[in-house]
Amino acid sequence: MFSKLREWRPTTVWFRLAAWYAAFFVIGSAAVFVLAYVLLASSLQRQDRDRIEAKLREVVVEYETGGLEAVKRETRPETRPARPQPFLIRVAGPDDDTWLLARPDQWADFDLRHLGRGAVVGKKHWASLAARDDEAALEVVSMRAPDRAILQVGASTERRDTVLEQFARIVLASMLPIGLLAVGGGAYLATRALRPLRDMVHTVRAIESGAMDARVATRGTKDELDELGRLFNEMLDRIASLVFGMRGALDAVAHDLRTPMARLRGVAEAALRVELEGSGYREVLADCVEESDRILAMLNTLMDISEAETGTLKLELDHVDVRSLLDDAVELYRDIADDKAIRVGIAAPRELRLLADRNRLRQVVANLLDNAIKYTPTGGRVDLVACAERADTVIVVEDDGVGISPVDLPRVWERLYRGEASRGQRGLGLGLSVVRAVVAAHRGSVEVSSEPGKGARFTLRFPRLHLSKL
Amino acid sequence: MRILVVEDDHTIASFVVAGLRQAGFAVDHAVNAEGALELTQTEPYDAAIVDIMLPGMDGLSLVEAMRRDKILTPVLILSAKRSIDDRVKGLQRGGDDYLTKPFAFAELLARVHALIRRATAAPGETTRLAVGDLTVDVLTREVIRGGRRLELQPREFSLLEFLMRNAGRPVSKTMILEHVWAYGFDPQTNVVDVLVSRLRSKIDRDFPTKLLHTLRGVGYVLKAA
Repeated sequence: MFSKLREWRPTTVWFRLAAWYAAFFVIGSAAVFVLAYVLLASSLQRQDRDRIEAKLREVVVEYETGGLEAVKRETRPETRPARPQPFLIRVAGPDDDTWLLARPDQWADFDLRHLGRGAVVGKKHWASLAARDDEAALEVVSMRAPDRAILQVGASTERRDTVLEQFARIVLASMLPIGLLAVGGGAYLATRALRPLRDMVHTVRAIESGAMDARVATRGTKDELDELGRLFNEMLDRIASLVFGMRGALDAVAHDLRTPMARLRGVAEAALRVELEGSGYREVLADCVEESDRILAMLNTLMDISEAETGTLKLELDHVDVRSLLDDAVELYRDIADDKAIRVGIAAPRELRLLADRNRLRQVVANLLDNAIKYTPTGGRVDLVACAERADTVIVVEDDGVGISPVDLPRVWERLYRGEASRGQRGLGLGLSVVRAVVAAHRGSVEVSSEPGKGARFTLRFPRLHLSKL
Repeated sequence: MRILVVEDDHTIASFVVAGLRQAGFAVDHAVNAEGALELTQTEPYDAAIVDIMLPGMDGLSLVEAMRRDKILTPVLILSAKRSIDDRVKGLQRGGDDYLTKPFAFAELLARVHALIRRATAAPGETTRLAVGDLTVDVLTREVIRGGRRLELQPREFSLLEFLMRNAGRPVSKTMILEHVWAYGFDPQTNVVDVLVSRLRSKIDRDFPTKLLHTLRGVGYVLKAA
């Protein structure tokens, strides 16, 4: 864990992600605060103005019912109860000559010269006056009485300014923790979001340093990054199976070729050791040529098997007519079968087609037929049967020959394995390995069953495929 | 008969050139496609043997360039790859025949002869073939040896005709498989040996002079002496 932490460095993508997150967080919070401030300010202003207007209504009623005297009485300090925010009350003549001015002392600072400007009959007029020291403002509402006298009520904004100022101070104080939260959150989010990618980087590094089995840890969350991890692992598995398959195939080929190479070398070396006469050297050279031909045949066959087993064999897919495929194979072996008086029967429906590589399939059928004829005594019988079975195309090669012993049966597919019965026979010991590998490359399967002394039966089963599946 | 060999491997080139000269051909050798293309533009060749893997321009491009220049010399392509894919590609791009390395020189020689014959054959020329006292009429399918008519199966006849057209030159098992059964690959069987021994029993068994000979490591040859 510690080493992992130490290895971990903020990358550019990480930094960008974190910075974006922090920026959005801070800007978002600031916007929320600004909005709250504006709403609070306007709500406080409305409250203040409501109160001022209520007072103006009072003054208007007093003026209209009792005249200037009534207003004077009302504003006398002894009748006024102590209020948290006393009002400024002014009554002026139509030409803005002050008849009455009642104001708290602390308002001496305000410039009241243009107080009455803009007042209209029956309509409220709002005006704002700045204090001389600019610390607060005076909000004044004016109205003309029906006799054109100006009635004015005002109040200081000091109280609400204090509230707003406090609010702003709290906000400013909270910006620091918010900033920290934004940076921390951004870092956390970036780290979390990039973890699967970092895991992948770790995995690739591990594989580069030789740990071929390293895989990305997936969480099973089914999100995009998890899926990427899963696909990444699948790809690694595929690559690993190819690489190991090829490595194994190469080892096997190298191993399998050693014996014929040793024979070739032995023949040549034996001839060098002694003086040969006449056509002796020609014989030895002919042996060498034949031996190298065998090595070549073996190499080609082993390559085919390896390619088929690792899935790198290129199949030239075509719609192969099974009946003519079997006819061709029998035609190839007609002479050999005739020599042994073996009857070869074909039972296959017309129009049975199989999507396959024609040449590879010919090779498969030829190999099986070759075996069947080889292990069937004179006068025996070999049958080739093809049919469609549900979703499969089935080809059976059956003989009534010597069969395969239970000991050999499971091992017939092995490369270079030769059972008791085949020891004396010509061949590379690769025929059935080719059959199985090629059939598997076609996504098919092959089975063998045998009763010793009564014959053997090879069943090929090909799923009916479409071109896209291979 | 003049032949151009385009091969960059000196060992292979030297045994091919020497072998062809021994067989009576005049042989020129080029180690790359560029040089070979120049030669084909000035010299009239009866056949060319072209390796696919060459330094610089490859063999297939050379064949294409030759065909573009209207040089119709028959070409035998040599390749170290054995897939059917490559064979098809080689023939599509203007090659006339294809041989995989390693190959038997006898097979190369037989294929070169076949190419030249195909390019120069006059129609109707080869309906009667004869080797020693064995004659074959390709049209009537009549086989006569020492005045005696022989009965041959169709496949035996096909093999005999192939051997007689190549009389005196060895043919390989692969060539026989290709010619008689049209199998483009060697199924690793002894079907060729079986057919040859059947043919031999019909044309040679009752006669003191043997015509059909086995050349170990090479193939078979039909010759009078």
